Amino acid sequence: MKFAKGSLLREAMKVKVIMGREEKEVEVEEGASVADVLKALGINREEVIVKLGDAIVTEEEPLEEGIRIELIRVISGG
Amino acid sequence: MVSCSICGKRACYHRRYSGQRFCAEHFLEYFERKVKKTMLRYRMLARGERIGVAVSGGKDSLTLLRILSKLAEKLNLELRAILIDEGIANYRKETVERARRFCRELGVPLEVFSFKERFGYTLDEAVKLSRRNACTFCGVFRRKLLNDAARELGCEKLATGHNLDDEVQAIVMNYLRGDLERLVRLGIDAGSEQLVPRIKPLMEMPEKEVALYALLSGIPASFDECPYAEQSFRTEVREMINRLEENNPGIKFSILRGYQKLLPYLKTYQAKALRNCKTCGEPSSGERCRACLLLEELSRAA
Repeated sequence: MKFAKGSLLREAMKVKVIMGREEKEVEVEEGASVADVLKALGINREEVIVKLGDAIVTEEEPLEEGIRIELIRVISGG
Repeated sequence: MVSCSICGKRACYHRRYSGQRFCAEHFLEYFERKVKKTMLRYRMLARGERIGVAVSGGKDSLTLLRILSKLAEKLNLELRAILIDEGIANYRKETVERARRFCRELGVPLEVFSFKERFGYTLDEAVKLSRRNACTFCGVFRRKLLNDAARELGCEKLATGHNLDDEVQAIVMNYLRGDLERLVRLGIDAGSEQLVPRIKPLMEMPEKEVALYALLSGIPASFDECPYAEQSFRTEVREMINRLEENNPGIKFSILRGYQKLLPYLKTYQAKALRNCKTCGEPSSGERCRACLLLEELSRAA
């Protein structure tokens, strides 16, 4: 448990991340956005597109406990 | 939910360097408008021209082909898709099929030119015979074959799917290597009648935007990375630039604009005049062109 800015009590939440054939579970602070998840994974936002269900979302999209997001790498060669 | 700056629907893209957010519909509209604006700005097309379009089956080239085919009727353009089959096992075959289907759908004739047929070696064979990395062979042979193909098909221009990231990476790579010769050549016209003038309509579109356009408009593009890609210096440069962009949105444009401002001064640098290769007669900066030198190396090793 951590105290974040503004003295709000924040708890950790888990988010599932699918990338290609891999699936990972990432722990971030409650109220975290897609950008926070990418940061936790060390992935540059310039190099992925993020899907939430069928919708493509921005990195600012807020996430909830247990949510599943899919990352599509945008880098292609040839 | 994050909303579109124009209509308030859910946003799928945050264009951080301008602060705008777009839903799918407004992103597609913005993207096509900007590519057209880029083509006008650099006077890339003229009415009635025959344009060779280099397609690989990847997101960049298929996006380019789709946008050009939308303009073709209005501008009376004649499009010819050109696909180079380098001969990379488990990679190229699938993308060739994808490109073929897409061209059929758009009604654009497709011609396939292969390394094996033209040069006698697939890229896989060339790499096995030599200690050079794959990108050296691929870059030299592909450039030559694309030009030959466009010329043989009677094209007035050759359009390639290079995006903003590709351009900026090339600029920074040449700076870092101190390769003034290539840095100058990157921004000037062909310099020989034998070279078909090249246009890059996506040169101001970030790679992520091109990928998003392809996904949203249902283009059957491949997002697979070339199996040889990890070997390249370009990968290191790409990661460095993307780190910079993440913390300083818009820096890719700054690099491109800075280079364009430098170009008039760079042009005063005495770039080597092109002459004709002693072996094949094609334009070359040396006595013999890179393609002929590499082919000689391969035939000695075989």
